[in-house]
Amino acid sequence: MKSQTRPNSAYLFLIPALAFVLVAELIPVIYTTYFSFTEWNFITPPKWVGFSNYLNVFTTPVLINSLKNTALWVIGTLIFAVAFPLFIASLINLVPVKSIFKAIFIIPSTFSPTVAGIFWRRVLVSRQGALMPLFESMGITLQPLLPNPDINTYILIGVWIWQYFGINLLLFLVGLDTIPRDPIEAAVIDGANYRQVFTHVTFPLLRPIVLLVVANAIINSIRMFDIPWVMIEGGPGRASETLAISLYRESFLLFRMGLGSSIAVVISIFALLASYRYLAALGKEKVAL
Amino acid sequence: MKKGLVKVLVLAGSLLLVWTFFLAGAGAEVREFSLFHDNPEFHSSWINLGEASAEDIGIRAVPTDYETEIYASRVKIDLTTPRAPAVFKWWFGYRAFELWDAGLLADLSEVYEEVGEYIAPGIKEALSLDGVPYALPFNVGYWVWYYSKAVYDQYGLDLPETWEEFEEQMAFFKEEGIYSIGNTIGVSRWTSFIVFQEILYRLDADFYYRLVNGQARYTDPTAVEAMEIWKDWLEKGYFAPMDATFVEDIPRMLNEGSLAFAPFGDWYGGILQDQGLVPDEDYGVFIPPAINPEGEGAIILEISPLCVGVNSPDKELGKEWLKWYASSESAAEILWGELRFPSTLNITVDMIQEDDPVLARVFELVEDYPNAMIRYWEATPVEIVEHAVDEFNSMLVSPGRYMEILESIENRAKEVWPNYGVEY
Repeated sequence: MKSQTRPNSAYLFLIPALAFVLVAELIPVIYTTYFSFTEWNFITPPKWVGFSNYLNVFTTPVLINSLKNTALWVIGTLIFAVAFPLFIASLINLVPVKSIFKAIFIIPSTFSPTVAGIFWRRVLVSRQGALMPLFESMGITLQPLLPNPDINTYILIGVWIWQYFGINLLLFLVGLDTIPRDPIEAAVIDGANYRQVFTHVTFPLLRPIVLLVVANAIINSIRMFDIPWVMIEGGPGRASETLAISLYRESFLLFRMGLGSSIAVVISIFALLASYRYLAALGKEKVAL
Repeated sequence: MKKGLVKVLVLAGSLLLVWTFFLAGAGAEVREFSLFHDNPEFHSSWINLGEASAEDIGIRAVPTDYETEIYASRVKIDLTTPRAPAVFKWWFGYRAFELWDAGLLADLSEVYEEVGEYIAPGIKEALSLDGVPYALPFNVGYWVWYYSKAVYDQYGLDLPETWEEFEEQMAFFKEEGIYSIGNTIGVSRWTSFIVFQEILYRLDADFYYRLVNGQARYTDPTAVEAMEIWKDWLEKGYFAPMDATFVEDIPRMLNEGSLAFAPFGDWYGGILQDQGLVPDEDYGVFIPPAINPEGEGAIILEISPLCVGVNSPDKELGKEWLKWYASSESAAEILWGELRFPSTLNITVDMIQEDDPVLARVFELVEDYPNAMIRYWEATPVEIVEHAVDEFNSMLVSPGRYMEILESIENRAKEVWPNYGVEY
């Protein structure tokens, strides 16, 4: 039997996609990586400085603070925008009218993070905001919340969770809908309680969706920019800065393009690692199936 | 044959018509160039300037606006390429120096030779480096303190004439539940240097000059004293809530009488008027007294320059346009009528007096302050300023960190000054 060979013309069809990847992704990545080893202020030519920018990312106090804040965003997102929606979805899945909950929880997800940030800023500001007068009417005087460096990162993460919660809940509900009923019913007949059914039957079957949501959540929180920028510009000072804001500030406000580029590379590596874990795990799932 | 003749005539007529249109179009051809600025709030006025020049001299400035945060890096990147804007708004002092030093600004000597008579005395010198003028003024402003008429009328107070009276009034306002100073974080990080600047030069104007030029240290006693005064005010609760914005909240608070002062350049009057405040009815201006004799006679000056990108293919158009901008009455009408900027001498003292008595008052006041010094934002290298404004922002919420903040800025200054050829 004659073996089927792929015609050479097939490669031609790949050219547009390859060209797009090359121009839109590969060249910027190469440039950014190159700049990350230089000192460049946009005006004078870049000067090669080796790994010193990378060293600065992990030793400069404000950037260590950014790393810490970014870690808080990742942890907060995983707990409150992944684990919690999963729990809520498993409860909603038990009730007959799921569409109402879907509609309610999805509304904040329809806003862009920028719009969510502006909206919550208007709610939280001490003058003309919605929250402060409410407390004042109860005789409680609160200090402005957003400029408070001790708590503002948690408030910003809260806004993100408010915005991001619904879409993950929806994904989990869709995932739960696709799970076959037979193994669950079999487990129930065998005497498993709700917790046992969830941990031993439902959750393993939902794993591909969970992996997708977790990977997305990690990537989105690692590169978080919009909400902390719109609400307080990563301040006061640089207190609530995330890595993405540090990238922007160092590159475009402080004109340290080399340092900014090294932060961009670090963010990309973190995001790639998160994606890799997801893709690798998903590959294993496919093999198992 | 007859049919053929008709065809020829129709064809000839059509060609004639097209040619006529072409000629008419060519006669009305307007040459265009790009103009960059960082004032979205003034964008319509920039468009109007462009249209007015198109009508007057056949050159249209096509403005593009950017938020200030991204503006500097965008312009810096473009200036090194043929994408450089022909005309762009910038800052003077060290912010212009770095562009000049890199050879990115065009020499505007010929512009001044032709239309220099329309520019106020002293401005050309302020906008020159190595004796070469690199810009025309978009706005020339002095830094004053705006005060709430509602507050002063309510308590029948006179403006303070000594530093002690100034501080006593702030203590009084605190007792009355009124915020004294409208300088906050809001959503604009750059404003955080203002109070440091305002205290420091009133302590010692010469020290301020030396500090911004790398001849004094941020950890020197005068800088420490300025921070201690600022810390004291912050801890006493004299400042407006830190999330108030200077464009919306501060004007509202001045108007309603819950805030006494807002220190800004005299361009702030335009913002107050945009927010519905009436000059001399709702707000006035004053210059707080010096703290020490070494601070007397000093005032902060800010000039927003319009520069020409030397790499722009349209730089000659840009220069022609600047000649029109400086000399034409239609430009002056827009600059004053819409922006309240007395940018050229076509805007007369009478016009200012009639339309904006508070701005006229600024010009009266500054006559007693001959020592005009550059605003901190552009008076010292950009690398130090940008670091300092982030640190000063943290001062606003953590005043106890003031020495740590000064040391941090000092460390940055040590890194930066040698790059400017200053032994530090």
